[in-house]
Amino acid sequence: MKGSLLVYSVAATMAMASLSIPAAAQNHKVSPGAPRAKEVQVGYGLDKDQPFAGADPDGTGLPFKEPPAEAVAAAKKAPTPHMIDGHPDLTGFWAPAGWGYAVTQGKLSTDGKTYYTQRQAEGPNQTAQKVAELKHRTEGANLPPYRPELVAKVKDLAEHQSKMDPAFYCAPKGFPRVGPPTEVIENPKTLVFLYDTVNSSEQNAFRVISTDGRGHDPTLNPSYYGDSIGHWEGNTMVIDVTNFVDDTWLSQNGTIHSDAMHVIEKLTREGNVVTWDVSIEDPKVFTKPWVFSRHLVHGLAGGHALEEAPCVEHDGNHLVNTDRN
Amino acid sequence: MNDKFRICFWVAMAGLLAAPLWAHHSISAEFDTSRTLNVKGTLTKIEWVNPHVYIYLDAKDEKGEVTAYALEAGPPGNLRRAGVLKTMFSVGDQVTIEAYATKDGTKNLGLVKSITFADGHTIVMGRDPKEVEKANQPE
Repeated sequence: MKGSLLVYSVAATMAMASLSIPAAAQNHKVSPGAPRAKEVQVGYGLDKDQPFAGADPDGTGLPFKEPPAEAVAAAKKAPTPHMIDGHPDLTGFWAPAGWGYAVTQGKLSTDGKTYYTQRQAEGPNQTAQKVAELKHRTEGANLPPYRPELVAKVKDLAEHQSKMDPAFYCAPKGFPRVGPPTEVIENPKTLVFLYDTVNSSEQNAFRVISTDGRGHDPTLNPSYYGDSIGHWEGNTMVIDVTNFVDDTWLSQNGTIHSDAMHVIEKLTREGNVVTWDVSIEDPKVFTKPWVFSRHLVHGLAGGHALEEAPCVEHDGNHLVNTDRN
Repeated sequence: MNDKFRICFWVAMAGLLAAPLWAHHSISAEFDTSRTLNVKGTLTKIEWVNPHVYIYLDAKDEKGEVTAYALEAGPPGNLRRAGVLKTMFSVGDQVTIEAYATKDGTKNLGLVKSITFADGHTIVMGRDPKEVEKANQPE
């Protein structure tokens, strides 16, 4: 109990710090007298679009989070925009919960000379937090339902994630690990999903989803993101995704899948909220479909899925143990 | 769910969320945070890439001998959101870097703890040590 109190108090401290985002979003002069412009706006840009924390209340161990129920309820009250064909318009920027909340709230010293990024905190509290995170990721109530003969293998891969995770070495995470779309562009016959990948191994991740009634193209090569076709069922866009390669994981937790993976992704817009329902079927590795759901709240500050970063891995050969984040 | 529990739940979840967005290695898998190196020199290359930014520096000793260092920092997305931009670093900058040493014995590699520029301003990749000390006091 004392351990969990410690975790809670660390979390409380971090949450309190995080609550200061509006103040932190002011301009900070890092070095007024410097020859180059040193003014930075702490956590500017995307964090304005989703300034609240998220959680994993159903215990999926996934990195994309559920926003607070209050934020979802408030955003649902907005009117739902529709396309000229009468279908809900999914177009918009759907930054996941916590998108900007994890901003590390940089802090300037009183003399204005030292800027603390507030990251890489060291010491026993960080260790306690790390233990809590790993426990959460490995003991959640809604982890992928692996066949009994694969449970030990998945656990072993998770424990050796720093050596075994393809994304660790800059391979694409693929779908569905890439998460919900950061930005959606809806047209009458296609949907385009764009993914912000600045904190990812991906570059230029996108999916084009045909919604004109065509079926899957059996001649397409298998891919990281699969072949997606969509149709409307009432106000819900139902997307069927097949034809995956089998070398991506579903999360950072050693969660393998096979080339038989079939994903059904549903998006339902109510006001400024999209409910994103995912069902992953893979009879070669799962005993039943792995089903989870997240609410996406529309970003109203005009954000776009703009950021990506090159990926060059330097560290693999220098790791001396299997410690994970 | 009563209010008290709900508040605790979200506070705890916010803590979990503060975990790094990039699922790369733990600091402790590569660096020894009890040992640091101090390097003074000239920036030769800024590599603003995932999973970690790399800053390269040439240090010259009293005899004029040059040693090249590679210093690792956080992921570019996290750094930007923490207010640290690529435009704040230029090839040719004279800097002093304090970095955590490697565990595998690689000498010219480190994890940036702080970087001080010629005009005296410093960027610390982390929290104010006084705050860390306070947070780590036993209950």
